[in-house]
Amino acid sequence: MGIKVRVPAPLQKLTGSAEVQADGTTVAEVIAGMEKAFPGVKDKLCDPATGKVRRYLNVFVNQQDARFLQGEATPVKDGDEISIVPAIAGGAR
Amino acid sequence: MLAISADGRRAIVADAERAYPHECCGVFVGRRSGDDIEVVRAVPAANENTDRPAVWYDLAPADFERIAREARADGLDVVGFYHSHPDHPARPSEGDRSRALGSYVYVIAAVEKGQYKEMTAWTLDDDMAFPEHSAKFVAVPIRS
Repeated sequence: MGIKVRVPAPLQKLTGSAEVQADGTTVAEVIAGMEKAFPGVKDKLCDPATGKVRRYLNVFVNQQDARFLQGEATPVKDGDEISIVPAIAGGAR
Repeated sequence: MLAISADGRRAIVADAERAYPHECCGVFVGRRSGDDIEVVRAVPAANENTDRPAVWYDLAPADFERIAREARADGLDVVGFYHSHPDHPARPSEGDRSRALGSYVYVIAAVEKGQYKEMTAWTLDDDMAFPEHSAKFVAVPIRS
């Protein structure tokens, strides 16, 4: 069954669709699972220096911001949903 | 070409004038087909920036997640974002460019002394650009 992962538009050329399935028992494992299926995805999602999710990305697990759970170590199970939500920002100055 | 529904335009203008002198921000829900983008709804989101909200916006991630979920339920997608430039031209700043993502359209609404003036639309020249990129903005014509 796996974990359902919703990916934002700029990643969809890598994944081929807006929604993919991946396996894993934590957010970090799911990202690793995505990398196996869609090489190059992890570099987009994670800082190569730290291996952590990039600072301008938010990960939601079942509609809850993973920052307020256990971050990359947040446990997930079959049937859960992960949404990758870019941090949208800017401004006049 | 970008087409924004009449309701969508009204929502952007109302949000920009309501938020003045702060920047407003919101999410575009619609459809994309090649270079043609249709905005069905412009949905206001919270600007979470508290340090300098007159010149910067941080769109609330929880609002983005919720609006994207509601869009999917209607068979639509998130196609872009809008924000306002209070007392500043509707031209993207370096901050706008560097924090933008590929594949989305960005609308900037200029507000002068509390009154809406104009809006412009932009997209990056790299569909796959992700944070910390070097892509450039190109103007997107808005269908009148």
